[in-house]
Amino acid sequence: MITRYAAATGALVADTFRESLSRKIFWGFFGCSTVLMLLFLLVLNIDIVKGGVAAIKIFGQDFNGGQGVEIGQVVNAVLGGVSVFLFTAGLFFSVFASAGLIPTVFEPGRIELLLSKPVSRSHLLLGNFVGTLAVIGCNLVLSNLWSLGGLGPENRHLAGGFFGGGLVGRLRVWCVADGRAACGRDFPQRRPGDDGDVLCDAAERDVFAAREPCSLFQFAMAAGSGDGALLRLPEVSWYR
Amino acid sequence: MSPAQPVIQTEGLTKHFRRFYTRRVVQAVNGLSLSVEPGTAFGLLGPNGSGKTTFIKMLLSSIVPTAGTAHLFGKDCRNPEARRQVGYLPENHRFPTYNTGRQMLHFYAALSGSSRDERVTRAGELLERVGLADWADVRIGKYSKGMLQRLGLAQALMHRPLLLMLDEPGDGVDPVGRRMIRDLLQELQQQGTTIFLNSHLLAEVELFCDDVAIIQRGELALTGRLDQLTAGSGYQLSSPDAAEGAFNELREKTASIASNNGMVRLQFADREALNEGIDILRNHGSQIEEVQRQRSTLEDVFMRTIEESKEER
Repeated sequence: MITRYAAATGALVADTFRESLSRKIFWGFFGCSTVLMLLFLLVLNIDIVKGGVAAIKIFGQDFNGGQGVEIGQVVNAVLGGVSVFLFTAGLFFSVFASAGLIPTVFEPGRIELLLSKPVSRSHLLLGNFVGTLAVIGCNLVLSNLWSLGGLGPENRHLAGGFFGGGLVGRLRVWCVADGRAACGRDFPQRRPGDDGDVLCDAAERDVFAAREPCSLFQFAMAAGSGDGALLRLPEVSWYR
Repeated sequence: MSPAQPVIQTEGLTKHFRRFYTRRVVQAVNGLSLSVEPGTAFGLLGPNGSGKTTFIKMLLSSIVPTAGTAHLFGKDCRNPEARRQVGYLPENHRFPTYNTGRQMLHFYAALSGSSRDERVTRAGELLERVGLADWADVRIGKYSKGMLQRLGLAQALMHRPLLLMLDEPGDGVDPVGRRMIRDLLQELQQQGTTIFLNSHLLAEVELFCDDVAIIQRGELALTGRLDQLTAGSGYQLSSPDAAEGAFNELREKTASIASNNGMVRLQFADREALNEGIDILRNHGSQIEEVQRQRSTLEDVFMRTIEESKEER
């Protein structure tokens, strides 16, 4: 009985996966969010000398007004703006990409056939809900794997910290990554092997990993959560 | 289920819909009591909007009855387990187009509780049987209406159901496909599967069903064995060379005599009159081509029932 129930739930989950992957809107938002993240990654470039901003480039053009500004202020300002934008866009993307997954199951002509099987309405709803969660969960696992790859072989000991930190930890890393993406790819003052360096590398990978709508959503949710730590540079000790 | 227990049994099954704006009540099904015995082929007939599909949906718990009870294999139809042995092909089905034919069969069979090994074997068999083996791994979105109908039938058979409920199975299928479906259903019936057929194609029902029920405006207008319902009350004899001399004697025995292209057709009211007529013809050295019992077609029975039902109202 339990096996049958699990098999039916598994079939519903697999079907939700197939349906989400077959949707053009899903891939459309995937493309949009990728472009968006690349934009944040590449649009702004900040050169830092001795803790101060030496030069800021936007779309490759010099922005001289930023010279001598404290790096923390720049990061906070940029990150704040980006976070608000991503929260809105992420929410929009995720809602539109996954909104139709459950209602389509209850369309006339489809629900009658599903209900003719030995499954109840609540079971159908549960199966599809779990399926939608599984799609999101896969994104999370994928992004974890990407960030682990980004740690490099010499820093494997941090892996436990990443997984142990759980979702909140990942969200923090994404937000830090966004700070780095927004500030530019290079922090000249970092030292090789520095934990901050490792975190920045991992975070940079996370920017790519966060391309899919649901990852973007999680990222945006964290960015908009009001946690003050999100607006600071890496809290490296948190991951030890 | 005990051997004598009906596969489908309903008692006073009723469904009333209330229109949202006008608050007018539509009586889709009104106190329908029906019983379908195991192993039979049962045809449910009725004009458009008579409540056939609503009745089936109530049996499968897609919609909740306003009143009355329905049992499948002795279990309350609201219990999902009652539907484990049911295969269903809906009328206006919408199969998810992102699946291939094979994936779809696997999906619905998994919901019915079939094991993976069984699904693999059965999907191959059935796709071959319904003529879709070459299309098994093509997305359903590319299938024609007839192919979808055949795939739907395969889907209904994946878990080897004891009761097969088909809502307009011949809809959109060409004559060859329809013949294939009929042969498949006959084969299943011989194996003991109960078949519940809802169709507008009276000729199909007549060829295939043992029992029929006709519903009109949600109420049962007629039910019974098909051969009894269509049985007429006389016999027809055909003779190619009936002797002139025999006609005088035959006129006393026959209900009517007609001649067409040299073939004389004689109508007899009962078996006794028929046998006497045969004796007279043989005594005059006439040949007998054919003797057949007079029958009504299912269409005649259907039209008569519907007309009577209207008059009663």
